[in-house]
Amino acid sequence: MKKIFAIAEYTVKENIRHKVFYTILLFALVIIISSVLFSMLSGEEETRVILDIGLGAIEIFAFLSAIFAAVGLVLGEMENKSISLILTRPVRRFEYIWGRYSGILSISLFNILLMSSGLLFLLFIKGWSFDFRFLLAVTFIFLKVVIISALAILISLISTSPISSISMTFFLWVLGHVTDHLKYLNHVLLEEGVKITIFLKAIYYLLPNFQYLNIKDYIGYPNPLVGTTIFWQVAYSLAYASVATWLSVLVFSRKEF
Amino acid sequence: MVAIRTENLTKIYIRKHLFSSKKTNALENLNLEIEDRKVFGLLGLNGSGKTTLLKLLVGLLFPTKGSVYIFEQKFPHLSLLSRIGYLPEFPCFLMYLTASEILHFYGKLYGLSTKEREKKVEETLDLVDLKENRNDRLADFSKGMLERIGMAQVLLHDPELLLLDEPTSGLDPLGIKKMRQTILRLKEEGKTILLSSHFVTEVERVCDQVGILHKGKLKRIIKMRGLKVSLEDLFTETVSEAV
Repeated sequence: MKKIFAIAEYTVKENIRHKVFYTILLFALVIIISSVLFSMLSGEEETRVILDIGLGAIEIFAFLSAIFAAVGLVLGEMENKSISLILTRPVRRFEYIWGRYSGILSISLFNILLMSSGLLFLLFIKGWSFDFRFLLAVTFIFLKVVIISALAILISLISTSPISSISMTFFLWVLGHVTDHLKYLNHVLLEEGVKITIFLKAIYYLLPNFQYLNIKDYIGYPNPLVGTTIFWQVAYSLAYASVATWLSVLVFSRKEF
Repeated sequence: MVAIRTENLTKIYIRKHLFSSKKTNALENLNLEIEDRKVFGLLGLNGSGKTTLLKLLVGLLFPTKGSVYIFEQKFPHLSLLSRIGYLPEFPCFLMYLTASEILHFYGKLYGLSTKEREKKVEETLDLVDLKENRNDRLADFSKGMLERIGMAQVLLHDPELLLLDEPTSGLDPLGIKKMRQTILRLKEEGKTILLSSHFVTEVERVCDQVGILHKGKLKRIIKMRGLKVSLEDLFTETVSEAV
């Protein structure tokens, strides 16, 4: 556990010294602040617009920061061979992967908390009355990052270049938001007489279902959030990320440097 | 006691292409024994398998066939890595960290306590003349300074066995001299050292025994004590015979 913590700590240190980290944060804060300008055009729905733009920005920039950390640091370390000076010490391969992953999640959590504080500050200035679902929405953005970071590490380990890793992770992120459409596609194809149900079902269950975690869409609407659903959403995220990370460990254990 | 023993150690690299694969025999049935408290030099041309052997000895590569024993214990074994210090040919670090931070990080991976780490980091930085640069980022270091940090990370945990891959490559004459002095001092301290090089004169000056590797095969082992002919002649003769 100490070694996982040490690797996580150094992942955080390495990340916060990278200019990209600050650029992403700066962009996020600029967009969150600029949401106030957009809200002025929306009449009575002022806080709604700030909320939508703000939470959207938090999600996108948390995703970008996680991708940067997962691909840039893990793949970068393998490419520049600095990994060999870690693996020639008494470190198990699973400790390295879980350490890196924990570090990336710590950084992402910090980013999300910082951006959310900025957004809350703006909302309170505009007289928004607090809705506890804001906290849930932020938590679920983090859960999405928990999944996509695990996938980004896995992709980094099986792909050959940072560009292909980033593209594939981005592709998964987009697909993960439209998996429900696969059900509709299946329905349409069946009507046309094309039977590829098993194939589509396999893809549906393999892809991460980010739409399932989109709690931010409910804020401001009288949509009740059920405790048991939240429990299953959290369990789904943790189980998915855990399987992806253990797959990374499996791939990484067979890698030579 | 035998520090390193390999039995029929073989490594074949397989490069997969779209419709074909290419096999390269990097090491073939290597049987080698290195006694502890000795300095063993691995001499060979580029691509003779020296780096491959060292990487197999630290678990960065997996053998295709054969076994490795370190201090009579079958490798890979996690606890053995605490007894080994490894210097790669081109040591690469996380350039955003400072000299002190990178050593502290490695120290944590050995499970050293904060107090032990602080002492060891200061000692090793002093040993490689980088005490003044402890808070400088590695990105600002020259090549020679990075080599010295490389040596510092080898010595940090006071290992019994040192595996040094081309330790003098890229160093200026002063750096080479310092590196030689360090190796000789470590030899006096009773460390076992396996160093690979293609600089015959450097190997000649510090080694007790020399093994000549050529195209993945161990061609000859030479004891330096009482050697009447020059090592360079023996090396060129061995390599020429093998061609």
